[in-house]
Amino acid sequence: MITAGIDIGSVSTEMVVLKEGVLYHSIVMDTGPNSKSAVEKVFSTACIETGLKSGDFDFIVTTGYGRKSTGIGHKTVTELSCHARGAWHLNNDVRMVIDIGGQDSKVIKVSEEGKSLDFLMNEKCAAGTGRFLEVMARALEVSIEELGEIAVSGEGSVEISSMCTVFAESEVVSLIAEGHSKAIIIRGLMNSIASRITGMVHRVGMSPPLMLTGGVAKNRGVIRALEEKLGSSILVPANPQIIGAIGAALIAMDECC
Amino acid sequence: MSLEKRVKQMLLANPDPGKIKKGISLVLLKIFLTPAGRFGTRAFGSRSEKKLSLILYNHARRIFKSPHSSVFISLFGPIELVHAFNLLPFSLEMLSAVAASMSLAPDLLARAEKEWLSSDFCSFHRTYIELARTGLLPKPLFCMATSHTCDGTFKSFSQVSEYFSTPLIFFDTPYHLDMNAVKYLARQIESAVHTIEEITGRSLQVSDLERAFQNSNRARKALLDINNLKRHHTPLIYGEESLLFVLVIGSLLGSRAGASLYKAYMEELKKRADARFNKINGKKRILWLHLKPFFPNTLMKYLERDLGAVIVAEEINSVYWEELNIHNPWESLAKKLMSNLWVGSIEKRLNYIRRTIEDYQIDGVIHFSHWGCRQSNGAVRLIKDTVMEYGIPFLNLDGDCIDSRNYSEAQYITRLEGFMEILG
Repeated sequence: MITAGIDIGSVSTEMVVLKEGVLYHSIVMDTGPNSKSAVEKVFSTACIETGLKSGDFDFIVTTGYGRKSTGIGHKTVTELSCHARGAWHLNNDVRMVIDIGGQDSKVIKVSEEGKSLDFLMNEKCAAGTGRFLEVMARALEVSIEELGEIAVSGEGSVEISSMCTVFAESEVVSLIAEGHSKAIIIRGLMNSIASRITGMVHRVGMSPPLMLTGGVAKNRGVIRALEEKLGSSILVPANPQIIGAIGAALIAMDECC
Repeated sequence: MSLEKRVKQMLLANPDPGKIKKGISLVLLKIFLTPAGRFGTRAFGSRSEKKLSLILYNHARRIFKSPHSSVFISLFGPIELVHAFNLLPFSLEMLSAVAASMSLAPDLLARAEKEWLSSDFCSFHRTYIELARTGLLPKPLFCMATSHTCDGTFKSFSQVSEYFSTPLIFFDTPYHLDMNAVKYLARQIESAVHTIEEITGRSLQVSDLERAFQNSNRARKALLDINNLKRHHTPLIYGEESLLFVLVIGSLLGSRAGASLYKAYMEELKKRADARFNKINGKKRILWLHLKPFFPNTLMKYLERDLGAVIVAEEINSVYWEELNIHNPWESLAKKLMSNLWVGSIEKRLNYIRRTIEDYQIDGVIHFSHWGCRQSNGAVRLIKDTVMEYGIPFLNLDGDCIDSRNYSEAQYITRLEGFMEILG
């Protein structure tokens, strides 16, 4: 049995192929301006790379922000249920998932069966998301990949008081002008994201063990800041970006049985 | 350019209540000519749904036709008193809802910002202040406001009455329902009667007050019957339609039209119940708390038609007050105001939620938290904890009932779908 999950986010699109329930292939691509063509592209790439044809897939679930704007797939499921399922699959003890994506962040409480029990999404604003980090990286003239490494390279931080991405960016520019080092500004930014996410975690009700998913989970600085604010260690999967797609592919498998 | 856009531009560029009256008459004619077919087949799924539109538009037309008899009142104010004087009360909050449904609100809110109205202030209030200031509303005979559900009302009604140079009657509503508080509010209501007699030059006739109370009590009884039918049967009506009842509560309680409308709905739903109506395929029974977005959106339709949930109970339609008593009219009206679920201790709302979850076999609860509305979203944590006592899911939707500028449908749909996935 071959199933697939496609997670169409605002920044990246991921596809996971499962063969008899085991990870067979995964792809991560930029979504670009058109989510429909992103899905077509990720799907055709997966077919080329695996040698599979579209008729070989028994069931495909699409998820994420662009889940409905595709011509591909048998069912749509929200990323809330998919992240819960994907994270739980990797570790059955996980009771809470923090997913920090490009455009929004979510905290999901997970049941003993890997289902979503309760959730909270950030309110219509980029604070505490991947987009926030992208904007700040640009202001600091460092790459998004470098941010995390610079953050964990030392100690100490400055306070970033603005939650708003636009205000925080101008605050960063002022801090640079005042002569603060990039490293302590970056750690300040990580703390700002962590504060926001910690607030969401407590609103849903802290229930460890926690797993961090989504592209921002690749950033070691954010992980460290979150662990400090939450006072708890956080599980981070090897490839955090594909957890939603894994969950979707697993839900697709349930549909087949 | 669409007709809707042309009308909107015309209204904003050249606000003229006279033209609006003509426009409403045309809409009324269109409603009158639109057939009320079988459920789900025509523009109006029932005669009661058509009657709702006819009565509301006709009431609006009368206000524009006879502004010297109209009274702008805050939502849940003592409208029976206004009907007893044979005047036409109209809730300004509901006029903001109408402006939102016509997509006028974003322009009005943008204008309001230029007039030092902070964007932290409730958009219902900002919109009606601007409706008045822009000249889209006729000058009323007077304004009447209460502090009982919203403290901001006094501030915004002061601006509206100042703009129109009309008298403002204001009721300072106490927080706790006890005999001293009832007497304090009853004295204010009695004094308001004298003020209205001075404004109109007419004495209040006991027979008119009696008629207004009877109409209000008849409407109350029909609404109780409607709620009972909804409680005991498979879904008989979409919540999206039931939530429009607030427009009636805001302006027509105490009028014959209001009573007859609720009666029509009650009879319609009774007929559906007797015929074992099964055309609403809602599998999950939802309790909806607070209001809904009034600007054009597909949120409720999506929830009820596509996601398989149906709202079977609405907080806004709860009958929280006792029958009005003509032998003790002012205290009776005072008690009605103070019984409102949004006044005083949060326990009132929590008890309503507990009762409704048990009585209506509720599967999930949705609270719409209107931006800046402290009496609605100030206690979401307590509401969530109360719902959780029953082991059923709770969804808080942060949003704005009037301002569509911050509304992202995809974000709301993900929340609703995620909620339905939890419901299973």
